[in-house]
Amino acid sequence: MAGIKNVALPIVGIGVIAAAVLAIPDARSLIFGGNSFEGEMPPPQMRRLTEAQYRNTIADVFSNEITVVGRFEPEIRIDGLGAIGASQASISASGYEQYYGIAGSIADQVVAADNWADYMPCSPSDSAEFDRECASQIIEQYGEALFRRDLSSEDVEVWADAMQASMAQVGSFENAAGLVVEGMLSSPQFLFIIDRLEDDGRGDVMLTNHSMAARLSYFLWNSAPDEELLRAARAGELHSREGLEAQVERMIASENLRQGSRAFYDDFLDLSRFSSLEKDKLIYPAFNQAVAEDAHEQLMMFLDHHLIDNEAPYPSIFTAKETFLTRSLGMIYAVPVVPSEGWELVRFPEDDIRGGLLSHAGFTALHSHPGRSSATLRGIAVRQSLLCQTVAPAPAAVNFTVVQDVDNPEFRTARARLTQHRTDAACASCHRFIDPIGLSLENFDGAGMYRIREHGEMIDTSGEVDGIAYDDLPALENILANHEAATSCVVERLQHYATGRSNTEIDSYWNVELMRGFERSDYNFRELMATIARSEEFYAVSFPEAEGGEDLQQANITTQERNS
Amino acid sequence: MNGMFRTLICGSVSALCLFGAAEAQETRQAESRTLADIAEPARLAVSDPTTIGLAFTYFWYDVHETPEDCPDGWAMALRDVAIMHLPEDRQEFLLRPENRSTYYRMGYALSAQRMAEQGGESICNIPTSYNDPPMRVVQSDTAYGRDLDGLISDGNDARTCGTVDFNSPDGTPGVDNELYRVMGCIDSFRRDPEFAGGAMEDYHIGSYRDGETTTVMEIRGVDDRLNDDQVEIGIYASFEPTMFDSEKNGLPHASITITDNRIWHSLGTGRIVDGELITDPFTLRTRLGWSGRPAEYLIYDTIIHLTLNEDGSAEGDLVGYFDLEHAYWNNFHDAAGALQVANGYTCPAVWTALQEHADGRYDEASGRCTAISTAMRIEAVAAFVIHPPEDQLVDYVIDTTEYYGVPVEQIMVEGADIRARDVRSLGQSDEEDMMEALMEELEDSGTSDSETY
Repeated sequence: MAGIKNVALPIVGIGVIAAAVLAIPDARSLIFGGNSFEGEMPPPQMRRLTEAQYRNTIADVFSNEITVVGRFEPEIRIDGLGAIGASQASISASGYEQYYGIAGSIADQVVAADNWADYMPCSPSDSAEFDRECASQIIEQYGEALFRRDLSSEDVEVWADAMQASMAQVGSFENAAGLVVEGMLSSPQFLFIIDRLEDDGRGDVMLTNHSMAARLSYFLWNSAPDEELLRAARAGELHSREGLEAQVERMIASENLRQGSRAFYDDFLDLSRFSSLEKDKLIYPAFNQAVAEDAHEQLMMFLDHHLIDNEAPYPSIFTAKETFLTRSLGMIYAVPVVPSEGWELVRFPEDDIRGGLLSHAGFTALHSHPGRSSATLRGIAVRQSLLCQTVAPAPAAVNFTVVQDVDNPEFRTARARLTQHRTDAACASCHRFIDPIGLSLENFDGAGMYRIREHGEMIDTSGEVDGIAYDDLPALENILANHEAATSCVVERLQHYATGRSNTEIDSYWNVELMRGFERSDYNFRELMATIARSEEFYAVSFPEAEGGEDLQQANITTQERNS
Repeated sequence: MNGMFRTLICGSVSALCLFGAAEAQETRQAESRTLADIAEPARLAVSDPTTIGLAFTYFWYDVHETPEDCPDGWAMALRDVAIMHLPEDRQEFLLRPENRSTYYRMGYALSAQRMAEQGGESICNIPTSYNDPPMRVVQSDTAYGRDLDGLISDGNDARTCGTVDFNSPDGTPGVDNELYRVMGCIDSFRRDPEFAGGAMEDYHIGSYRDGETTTVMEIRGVDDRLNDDQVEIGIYASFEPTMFDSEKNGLPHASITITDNRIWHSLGTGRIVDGELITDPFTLRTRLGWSGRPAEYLIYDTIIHLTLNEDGSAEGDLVGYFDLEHAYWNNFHDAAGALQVANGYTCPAVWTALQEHADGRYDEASGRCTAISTAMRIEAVAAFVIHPPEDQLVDYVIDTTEYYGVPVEQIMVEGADIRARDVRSLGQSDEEDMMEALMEELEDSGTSDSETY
């Protein structure tokens, strides 16, 4: 479709604040029961779609057959989560070019002659003639799904006018429809999940039904709202307690919940680093791309198996014995795997130290160097990701010679090398905090393969964590399973992941409530997801005003629109 | 649409764009996996401590090479037969390195000519049709191998058909390895010849590395890995590849499912002495698929010696009497006619040599030996041998009657089905295509004179 540069893309009014559209008296009380929470309300957000959300959305709005080709803006992690980074991320000029290219590629596929009937609600009687009725149907169908809001008749008119205007240059109704799809996919209204507000009936604002649907859907399914959720939003059902509850129950029970839970695991454990995980082929010849991919998937399946399918208490992930293996992973674990293709559910014997989260190749290999294990990286990962503790960065100009020289005959094990390293006072305090946990994982080399010796010397995996001494990894796993920080950490991270924000005042109170509920549910992770999805705090929003009265939200959106 | 952008982006980093597409599909596929297909309850993730599993990473003849082996030179290839009647100066000219391609093409031309003379039939299917110069065979008296018959044969034992035993490199007499005598002067079967050296070994070992051939072994009932006076062994073919790293070293701990074809399950017994497995004689029949060949090892009275290492790997040797026809088909048969040009033998010569040097399985009726002694080297890594369910096991042989030009009764095994040969490698196809082209060229030239080339 030539001449694109000359086609003016429509700037559709977003209709950001539909003030007092629905005169719902004290609506929040109606939804959440009237027990208003304490603390200042958080501002509305614009969360940039993550790559996974983008791909899932395209698959769900169009189909799995649509190929998404291109590079995405890199993830920004803030306070340990990409979800928080997404709510503060923008799109660079070069990044936008990529999104624009991806949008064009998707649009091409959607309006291709062979696909038209699969994706479009109608066809024009003559491709050379503009069919406004059909155009309106297309705009209404995809506008709501992609922008996650209801389109006004004016919105539809603006898009239809632009589509008609473009026909002269792109030559056919189908090409013009492609331009509409491309324009929608290139719009910040698609690329960002934008909180849209309306009057809550008591002088404050609240999320619109469609924005609640989007927040709910991207949290639980990591994708766009499905037709049923959009229907409920159109019907205003999410602004009723029963309506919201019905949708949460439906979504929690759905197979699509795995998309949401997996997105959280990825963010929680920072598993996006698998895409760049490399090992030295000479040192770890069995570790290849297939192993890395399977190790990543294994963690997902392991966590889903215990937390979603079996609804086992969250702490059990540290002490579990069941996991999944493929033939590739079987070579890392050195155990037989029966199916030639796919996965096998296996159980490690009670006297085998493997089975828990920390013993997974996905954890030990990910938190290692390309050519050696790393007690320090593993210790940091446990402290920061699983216990939400802060580890200070290494001071400048540290001498790592002893640690890196794994073939030094004087220091044959990681413990010996790190003990020597800790003689440097600048390193000692942090390493005393980090290393014991990591040293207990030294039975796994840099590729996650089990070993009992390093350079011929028996590996000592005993240690002490937070004042409790232990003998080996299973003992450490038991300590972590009973560690208060482990359960509070996952609650806090899921809470932050869901809202895309770090602790605000209301989040602190909310966190206490969530923790109590988590304990009462015997640490049921699935129930925790549902509780968050039902919480008033999850949807809490205020209308911010900049100093001097400038409407920050409107200014931000206007800028994005102008840029589009 | 923004075609210009896409051209710029995907045109400059096309690999990335392709990767992105594939990645996208994979992501969706991965996410769409459900646990519903995975059988529960969980299988215990342990290997049987009384079983040792091995995947062969090297399985090739134990070729002992000394300068005294072939005093008359390497065995003649078809290319040599093609030029042997030319004037000496012409031969010298063709044998110069810069004329090698012409020299080889003359061999191909002769191969095509012979096939044309035989109506398109492979000469290797009718090796008695031509009287090529006798095979040059090993003249030295040293070879790897073992004494298979308890005799130190000096050429006068009727039951070993008049063959003469070798001594092992350590001086032990009575070594039976007549297949080495036949193949030991073929340049491509040795490693020391300048040009073709190592070619056949690379073909065979390459078929393991490429996943075309997989041989696994299981030692069962092992109570003590150092000394056990009674163990069971099984050698199996598999259609799943043995894993190798980028340095061509076998990777341990792969799970490999064996073929459902019981014909390629070879079972036996043995013992472990000081960490070395020694099998009792058994019949080995397993597939070998190098370059698309429907070949099989069929070795009688097989004895394996394997040193079992602490890390699960093993190395050692296999000796036995190779069925004479299978020895021929496996190592020398050449459906397209190109192999005997590029490698130092001709089918007629090697067929005759195999008959002359066969030394095992004496047939009273014909007064001839029907098998030939051999010695092979084995290297293996630890593996998990996965067996198909018992009720899924079948018996079949591959129909090679047309490929080898033999009656079906000759390849049939009692009680087995016969299945069509449906695997052909790219290499085999290329060979056949090339020979077809040459034959057409020859026909178009209106001459049968190989010197045309």
